[in-house]
Amino acid sequence: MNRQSRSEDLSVPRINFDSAKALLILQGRCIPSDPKSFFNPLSQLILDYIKRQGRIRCQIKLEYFNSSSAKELLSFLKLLKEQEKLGAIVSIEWFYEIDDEDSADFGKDLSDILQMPIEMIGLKKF
Amino acid sequence: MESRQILEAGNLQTASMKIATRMLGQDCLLEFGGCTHNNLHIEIIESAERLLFEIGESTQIRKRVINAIIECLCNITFHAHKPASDAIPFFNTAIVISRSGKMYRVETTNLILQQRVKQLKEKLDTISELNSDELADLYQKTLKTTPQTGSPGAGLGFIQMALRSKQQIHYQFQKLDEELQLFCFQVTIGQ
Repeated sequence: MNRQSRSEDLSVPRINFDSAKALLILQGRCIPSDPKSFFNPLSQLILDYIKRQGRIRCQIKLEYFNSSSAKELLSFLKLLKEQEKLGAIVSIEWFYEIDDEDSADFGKDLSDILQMPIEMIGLKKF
Repeated sequence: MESRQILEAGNLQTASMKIATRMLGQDCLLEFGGCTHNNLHIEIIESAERLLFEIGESTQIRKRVINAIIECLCNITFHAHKPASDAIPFFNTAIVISRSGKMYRVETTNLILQQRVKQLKEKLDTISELNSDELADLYQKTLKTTPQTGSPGAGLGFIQMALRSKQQIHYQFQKLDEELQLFCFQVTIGQ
């Protein structure tokens, strides 16, 4: 199964989910007024997948995100951590533009709060 | 200067001419006043980003300015008053993005219900009194906290803007009548 979707809603990121590779990529901006409407179905999809397959690799490449989405993203990653505790293999990669120290700091904040490693990958440009 | 003379010489004073006159001598990048909605917010954000690219602004400053605009527009969506009769969520608002030297300023004005003023003012008063370390602590604490049921936002937006701008935030409330006030907010982003 390979799902690639771009909602008509330009305020949410593209979701590229390659189930054969257990690879989830979130890319773009995440600035919806109701971030739960984006993250809740995504969480359910990925949770169901992990329960079946026992692994996920999550790449997050967010150009911009609003503070409400930051909280929902944290909840989503907490869900992945819970699955890791139950035995799933989980890896998270946080992409940021190398001159964007706020984004790099946020990736580190997520790692500190979750108390799990997040690979930080700096790119010259998204 | 020539433009100003033309404007002063003529008696025609349309709304757009008044805006243009006010912008003379200012480095105003983008000004919008009227009814906004979520799709228009995207256009405002994309327009501002294009302008900052054209100016050749650094990635860090560009991102901070755009993030401030995003948070301001979210605040309008969550907290601005809109007439109950409107079927579509339009918000009467004004947003100005301007530059002075290496500093950028994002300003918004919107209507807010009188009953929401006290809580918002207390929150802004608290934020504006904190230093950067205290703001960072409050940001971390708020990020980890589950929002109150019924709370539309995450409670992080103003804290994040104050933290990242590294400048004093400014705000003002102006009473219009028994029901409504104008809420003006300003954040400055610089090197």
